[in-house]
Amino acid sequence: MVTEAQPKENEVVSDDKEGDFEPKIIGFLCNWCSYTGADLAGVSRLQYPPNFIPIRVMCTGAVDPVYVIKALLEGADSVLVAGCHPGDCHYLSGNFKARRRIAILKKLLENLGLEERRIRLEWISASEGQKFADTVNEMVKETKKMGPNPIKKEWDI
Amino acid sequence: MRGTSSRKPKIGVFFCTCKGSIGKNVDLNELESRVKENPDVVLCIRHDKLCEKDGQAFLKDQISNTDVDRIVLVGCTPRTYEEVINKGALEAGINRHLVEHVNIRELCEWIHPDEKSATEKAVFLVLGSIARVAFAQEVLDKQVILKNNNVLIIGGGIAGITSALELIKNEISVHLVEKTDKLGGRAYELDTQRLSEEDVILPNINELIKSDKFHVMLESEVVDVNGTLGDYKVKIASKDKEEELDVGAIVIATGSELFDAIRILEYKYDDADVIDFFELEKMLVKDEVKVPSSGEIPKRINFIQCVGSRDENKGNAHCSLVCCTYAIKQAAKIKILYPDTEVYIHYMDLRGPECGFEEYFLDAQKKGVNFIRGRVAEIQKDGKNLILRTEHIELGDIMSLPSDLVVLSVGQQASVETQKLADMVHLPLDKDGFLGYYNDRFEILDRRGISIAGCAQGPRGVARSISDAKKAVREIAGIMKKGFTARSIHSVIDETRCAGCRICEELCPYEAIYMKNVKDHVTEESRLISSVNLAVCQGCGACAMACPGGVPQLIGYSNKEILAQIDELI
Repeated sequence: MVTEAQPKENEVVSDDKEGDFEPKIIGFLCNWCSYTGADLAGVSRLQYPPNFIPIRVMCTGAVDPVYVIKALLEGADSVLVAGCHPGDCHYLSGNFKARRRIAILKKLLENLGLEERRIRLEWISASEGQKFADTVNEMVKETKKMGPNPIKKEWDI
Repeated sequence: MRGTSSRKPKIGVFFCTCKGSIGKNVDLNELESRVKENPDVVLCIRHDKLCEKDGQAFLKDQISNTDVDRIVLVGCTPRTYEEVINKGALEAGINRHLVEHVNIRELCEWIHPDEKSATEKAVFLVLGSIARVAFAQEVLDKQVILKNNNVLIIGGGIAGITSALELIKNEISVHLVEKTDKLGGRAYELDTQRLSEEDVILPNINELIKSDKFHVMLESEVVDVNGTLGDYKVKIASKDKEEELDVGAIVIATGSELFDAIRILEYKYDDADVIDFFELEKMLVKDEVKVPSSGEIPKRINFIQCVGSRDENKGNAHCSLVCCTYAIKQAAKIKILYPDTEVYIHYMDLRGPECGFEEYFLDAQKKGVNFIRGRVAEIQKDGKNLILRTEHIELGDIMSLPSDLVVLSVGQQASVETQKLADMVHLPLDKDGFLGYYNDRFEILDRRGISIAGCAQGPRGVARSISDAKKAVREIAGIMKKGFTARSIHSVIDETRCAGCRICEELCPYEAIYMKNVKDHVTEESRLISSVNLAVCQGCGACAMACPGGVPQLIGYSNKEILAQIDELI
C-alpha cells in the first residue's frame, strides 16, 4: 500500500509548474448524505477550492467502477466517492458494496500505473458540512502534490 | 457521442437568481452565453424566483409557448425545492424524468468568492446536466396492481381479530392462523373485556365467523414464508395436514407470552397459594377469590410487581407497561368484593403509560388498597402460612408480612414463535426479542407488505393493541384494494438482454428482484430472466451496478446519462 508520501512521486515533473497546476476532481455524492453534506457546506459558507465538481447519484452502491475509471481516463486528476456512514445507508447496505468495490478498484489502479490515492472513499453524513469542505481541501492539496493525471498525457481518448 | 440519441433534444435552460442571491460571484451573463453555445439548447431564460407562484406561472408559460421537451433548472439545491419547482414543469406537460436540476447556489455561488473560477465551475455543472438530460427517457408513473389481494393474519388474539375485522370491512378476504384451539387470545380471559358493556372480544369474534371472507385455521402454525408483496406463498402446518396459501400481504399478530414465574425461585411459584395475575383474573371473572389450598376467602393478599420485568439478572430488562394498571384494577375489585380483606401492592415504581392511570390509582387508594414501595426479597413458608420478607423504602424498614394469597404480577416477554417467525420473514429483533421494523425512520409500512400488530413488537395492553392493529392494516387495506403508484425512480430491466445470471437477485437489499419465465424472442424457447417487483423496489441502483451487462438501469441515473455527464465535466 502506498500510503506514506514517497519522495519520487512528489517530484513528478510535469509540463505545468506546480503553482499553476489546477487539478480537476470529480465527486460522486450520494443523494441522501454526502450531497446534503455538500449543501450544508454551501449554506454554512465553508470555502473550498472550485476544482471539485460533484455528480449526484442515488447511492454509493450505485457508483459503477466504470464511472470512476471513465472519469480518470477522460483526464480527471482525482475522484471522490462519498456516501453515508456505515450502518446509515438509506438503502441498508449500499455503502458496504461501495467500500468493497473501491478497495478492488484501488488495486486495479496501481496496476494501471496510477496512484491509488487518486481515488478516495469518504463517509460524509448530511450534517458534516465541515468534513466535506475539509475533504475537498485535502484532496486538492494532495492532487496538486501528485501532479496531473498521467493518463491525460499518455492517452488521448 | 451525442449522435446516439435518435432525435435531437430541445432543451430549455432556466436560470433562477434566487432573488439576487445568485449572480454576485457567478457571472450569469457569461454563464448564459456559454450555455447558449450548446446546439441542443433552444431556450435560455432567467427569472427571479422560480419556486414562487409567479415563477411557476412563468415556467409553465415559457414551456407551453416554445417547443422545448427537456428542462434544466439552474438555481438552488434539488434537496429543498425540487418538487415545488417541478410542479410548473409538470403542469406544462413535461415528464418528471426530463427535468434536471443544477445546484449553483450551494455548490458554487456561496462558496467560491473568485468570480472567474466560480463561473467556470458553474458552466461545467450546467453543461454536464444538459448532456445528461439529453439522454433522459420519459417514464410514466406506474400503477402497481397486486397478484393476490388477500391477507394472512398470524395470531388470533385481540390484535389479530381487530386486524381481520378491519380488513373484512374493506372487503378484503382474510386467512387467520391461530396456534390454539380458540380465538381471543389472552384478552379473552380478561375480566373487563368479557363482562363490561364495552365488550370488544365476543361480538367481534361472532361477527368475524359470520363473514364469508373470513377463513380461520385453528391449531395451525406457519412453517415457511416465501415471496414478496402481492405474491406470498405461505406453508401452514395443521395437526394432520400441511397446506400452502397464496396471499398478498401478512399481518403478524403473534403477541407475547407471560413470564414464567418459576424462574425466580425466591417467590415460590410452585406453592399452591402463590399465583400469577392471570390465574387471579380467572377467579375474578367468576366474582369470587378463594385461597387455592384451603378454599377460604383470603384475609390478606399481597401483590408483587415487576416479576421478571426490569430485572436483567433473572428476567427481562424491559418494563411491561401494563402490570401496574392490571394489579391496581384487581386490587380494587377485591376490595369491592371483600371490604375486610387487607390488600397490599409491593412496587418499585408505579408506571401507567395510559391517560387516566393516576385517577385509577387514587381511586384504589381510597378503597383501602395499601401501596408499599420496596422489592420483596423472598417468600417464606412457615407451616401453612406464607410470609413475605420485604423492605418498606418510605419507612426505611425491613418487615415480615403474613399472607394468605400472593399474586405475582408477571410481565410480558417475546414469545418463541415470534422469534421463529422473524427468521422466516427477515425481520430484525430488538434486544428484548420483540419484532422491530427494518428502519422506522422512513416508512410506516414495510414495503414488503408485512405489518406487525399488537404485542409482537413490545408489551402493550388491550386498548393499544386495538389501535395498533387498526394502524397496521390501514395501509395494507388501501394497497390490497387499489394497488399503488410505484416510486418514480426505480429499476428497469431490459427483458431481451437479461441473461438470467441472478447476480442482481442476490444483491438487491429489498428482495425486489424475482425470476420469471419468458419466451426468448429469437429461439422462442422458454428461459428465466430477472424482473423487478415495482411494489418493493426503492431505486437504490444496486442491481444496475452489479449487472455485468448493464441490463437493469435506474430511471434518471442510467449509465448513459452519467457517462455523458462525466464526458462533459472534464
